[in-house]
Amino acid sequence: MSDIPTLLLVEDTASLQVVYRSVLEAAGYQVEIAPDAARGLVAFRKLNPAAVLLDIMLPDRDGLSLMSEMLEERPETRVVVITSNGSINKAVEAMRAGAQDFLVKPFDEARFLATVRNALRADPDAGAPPAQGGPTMARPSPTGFRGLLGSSPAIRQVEDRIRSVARSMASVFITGESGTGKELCAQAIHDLSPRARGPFIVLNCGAIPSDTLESEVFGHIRGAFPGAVNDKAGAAVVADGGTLFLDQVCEMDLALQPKLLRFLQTSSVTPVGAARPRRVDVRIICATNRDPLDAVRRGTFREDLYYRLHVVPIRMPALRDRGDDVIEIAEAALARYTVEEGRRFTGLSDEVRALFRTLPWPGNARQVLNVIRNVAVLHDGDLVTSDMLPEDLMVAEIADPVPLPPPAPDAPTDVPDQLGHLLAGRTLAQIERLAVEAAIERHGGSLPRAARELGVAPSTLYRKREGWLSGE
Amino acid sequence: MTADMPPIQQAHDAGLPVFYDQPELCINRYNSLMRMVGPARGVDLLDQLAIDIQDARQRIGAAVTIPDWTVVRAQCHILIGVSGTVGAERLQRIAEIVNRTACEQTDGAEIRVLMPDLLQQLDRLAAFIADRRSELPYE
Repeated sequence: MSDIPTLLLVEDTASLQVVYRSVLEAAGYQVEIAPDAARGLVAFRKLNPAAVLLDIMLPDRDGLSLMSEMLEERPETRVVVITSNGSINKAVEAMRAGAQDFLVKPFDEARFLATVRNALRADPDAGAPPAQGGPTMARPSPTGFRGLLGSSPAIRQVEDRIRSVARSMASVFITGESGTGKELCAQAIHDLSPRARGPFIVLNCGAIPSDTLESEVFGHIRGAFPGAVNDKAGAAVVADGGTLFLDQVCEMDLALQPKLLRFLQTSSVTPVGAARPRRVDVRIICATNRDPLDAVRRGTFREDLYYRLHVVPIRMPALRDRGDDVIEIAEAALARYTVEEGRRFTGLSDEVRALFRTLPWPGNARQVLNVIRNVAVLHDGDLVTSDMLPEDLMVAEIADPVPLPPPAPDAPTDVPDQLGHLLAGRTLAQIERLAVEAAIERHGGSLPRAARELGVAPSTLYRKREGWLSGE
Repeated sequence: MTADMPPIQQAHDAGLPVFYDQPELCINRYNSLMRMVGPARGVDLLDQLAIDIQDARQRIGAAVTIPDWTVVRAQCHILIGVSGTVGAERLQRIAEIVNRTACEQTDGAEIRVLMPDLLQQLDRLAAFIADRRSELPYE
């Protein structure tokens, strides 16, 4: 019997069948393709595939109902549903009904393969329907966010760069603000490289104490120092045949940098306490959220090491420079956390979408995930609305208030007199309402923008408006 | 396909998202795709792309006339996958917008504003595919 996993792909678009088959077969899988639900079910029963990749929209039947039938017959089946932008709620529905994971079209090769790989690795009992029937809260796979979500030109350029460099052995130096996906980028390079079947080892140079960093990178032999009770293979050895990702590389202790340089020059490591070096075959990718040249100038990073590592640079764009990607990332996060937290969310309100497009997102994609997670934990509903968003998100926006528009050319110049006339005889509450409603009107009905101008949280304006409407 | 950008004043005036920041075709993505599938499957892929694009164009054009938003959504689902995979980014973005709007099942005014651009991008992609196919041998 063959050990090669057989995958069943149920996809009706012929050109996509060619592409997916090419990707999967190149990765070593056997692929059976069914162009519709009826033939998909026949193939499923005949092959008992290791996993099913199932398009949600099929010509003869809803993909979710097909999935339900498959899971009823074989609850241990691992199903990855394939949807498209605009159908995130379907993905949520699928996860609740027992899907292992979901992919959003169009997806790139690295994301596709990572999702398949993780679906096959997953616990076969994850997502099994309960004994009494009913919807299943499948535990969502962590792979939903491993891909670089986004369709903006900025992130497309990064994807192109990843594809260009993946097949080379050249060192890659990734820079970018915190939360921009540097590790995802490194993982994608590895997954598309000829080393994809080898290990991908991550070493956070900033998180490991400097006195143990050498041992972590190069390993040690028993007795090399107090506490070294066994031999230990360092990250460089564990990554043999694969990729070593050095995160926060500019934080590496200066004393260790010459040894790293020697390792890069000779492809050999000498564990702490060892007499002889050992050759390893490792591809290096490194990353930092600092300016590496500034670190060189300040003398905290060796110049020769910098030039040795900085062969192929990749700059991860900040989320604020990626157009509508923030919406795509937020929707994917919402789909995942909705299932995880047992909520009913189907999407973001138009107001939240508009707001997200204006925020600076200093924490980038990671900040978006945190915000959406916060919403899913603390709230429930059909759409995510502005009043559900964390207060500190709004405070960050208010810190940069929108200046008032200039007065109309024919506006009266004696402003104090005109204002006094307007306010005379009104209570403070009425004056407040006038000011708020005028701000909302100035911003075309947008409460978040009006709140920004007035220096308050949008939730404050929502509460006030609800109070006015209810006649308080 | 080229990088020229005809105006989309109608969509802009209607307050619809402007997608002309997306290139018509990301040639790197297309080339990477063809390298990945290889020469033999590449011929098959181009033939299938031509069929899928033509089929989607006919179905979506007819569906908007009726209107049948279920068919519009189904065809956009296909177009998002096909265009995105090939690198036709502007077509992909238009299809995503139409897909989302069709989900809301409005009176169709917004979708009709986008249709000329959608169909134009489909035609241009079809012409590009035909052009690339003509460079390869026919069996």
